[in-house]
Amino acid sequence: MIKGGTGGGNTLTGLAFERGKDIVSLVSGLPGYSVKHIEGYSTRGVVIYFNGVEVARSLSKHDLYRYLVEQGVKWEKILSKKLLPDEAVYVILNNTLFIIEMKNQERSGSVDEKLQTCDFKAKQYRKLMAPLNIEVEYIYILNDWFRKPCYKDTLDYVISVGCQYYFQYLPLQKLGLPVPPGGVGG
Amino acid sequence: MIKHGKGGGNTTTGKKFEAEFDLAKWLKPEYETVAFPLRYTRGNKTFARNCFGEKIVDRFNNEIGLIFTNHGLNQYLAGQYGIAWKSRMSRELCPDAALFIIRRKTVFIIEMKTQGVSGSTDEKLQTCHFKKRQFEKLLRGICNKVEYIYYLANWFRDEKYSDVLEYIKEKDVGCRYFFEQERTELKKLIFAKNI
Repeated sequence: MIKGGTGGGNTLTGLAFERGKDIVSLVSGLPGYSVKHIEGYSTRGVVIYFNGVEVARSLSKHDLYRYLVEQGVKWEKILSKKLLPDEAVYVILNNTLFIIEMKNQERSGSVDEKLQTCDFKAKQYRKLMAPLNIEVEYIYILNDWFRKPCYKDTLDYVISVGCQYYFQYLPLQKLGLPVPPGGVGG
Repeated sequence: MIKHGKGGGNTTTGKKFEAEFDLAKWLKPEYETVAFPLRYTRGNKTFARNCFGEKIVDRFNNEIGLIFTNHGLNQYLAGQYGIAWKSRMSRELCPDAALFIIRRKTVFIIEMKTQGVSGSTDEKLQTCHFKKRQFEKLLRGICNKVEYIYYLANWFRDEKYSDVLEYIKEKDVGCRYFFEQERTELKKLIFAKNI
C-alpha cells in the first residue's frame, strides 16, 4: 500500500487497517507485543510493550489531555480549542507523538476538506507537545475512496506541508516500533 | 446589483453572497458594477449558461476590475484565456467572490463565513493555506498576486477561534480575515491607490 499506489502494502511489516480497527487492537495481536490498560484512561489508553519492554503509549482522543495534565502541561493555555485525535501514539524510542487520523469515506462530503486542515492541526499539536520536548508527526490513514483523481492536489498538499498519508496501512517502522523477527503475521 | 445587466440565475454576485454582503452597495459611491455575460467555448460549442460577471467602473466609467462569483471565475478563465480549471487543479474551487483588480494585477478571493453555528465551518477556516495555493496555481500567468480573504461573522470573535485566526495571518499561510464591521477596511485593502 504505497502512497499513491495500488498494492496491498507490505503486510509483514505494518498494520493493515480494516474498517473499525484501531491501533491498540492491531498492535496487541502482533507477535511479541502486549498492552496494559492505564488506570483512569479510556479503554484505548494503554501502555504498549514489546517483549515485555515499554515501547509506546496509546493516547487517543481525551487520553492525550489526561497525559498532558499528568505531565503538568496546562493545555488550555496553549490551545484555544481542544483537538481530539482519532489515534495518538507516543513512541518512547523516538520521543515522537504520532497523530493518526482515520478518514473513511464512501461519498463526497465534508470529510473531503478535512485533509486540507493538516497544516494547521500539525502545528497545533506541535505547540501542544513542545513543553515536553516531544516531536509530532501527523499521518492520515485513508480508504480507497481517496485514490480518486480529484484528491490528487489535496494529497500532494498533505505531503508538501510535512504530513503523510497511507492507504489502510501503516508501517511499524514509520512509527519506530520494532518489527517482530518473523513479521507481523496474518 | 446589476446596473445594466439581467437578473436571475448565477448573475452578479451570487445569491448566497448577495443575501449577506451586497457588493454593489459596498462599492458605492466610488464604483458601480456593470454586468457582462460569461461565455466560453469547448470544441465547437459556445456556452453562456446565463452566467454573468461584473465590471467595476469608477465615476469616469474607467474599468477598475472584475467581479465573479461561484463558477464565474472559472467560466471567465475558460472564455477569456482558454484555461480550463481541470488543466490546473484536480478539483474545481468556486469562490464566493473573486475580485480582479486590473491595475494591481491582483485577484482577491473572498470567502464568506457567516454561518452562526459551530460545525464544519469551523474547520473550513483551516483550509485557507491549501485554497490559496490552489488559486495561485489556477491564476498563474493571469495575475501577479492572489489574496485569500475570509469575511467573518462576529461569531468567530469567540476565544476558541483565536488560534485559527492567528494561523490565517501567519507569514507562511499569508491569508487575511475581516469581520462584518470591517467592510470599509476591506474596501481600502482592495482599492488601495498607493500600491
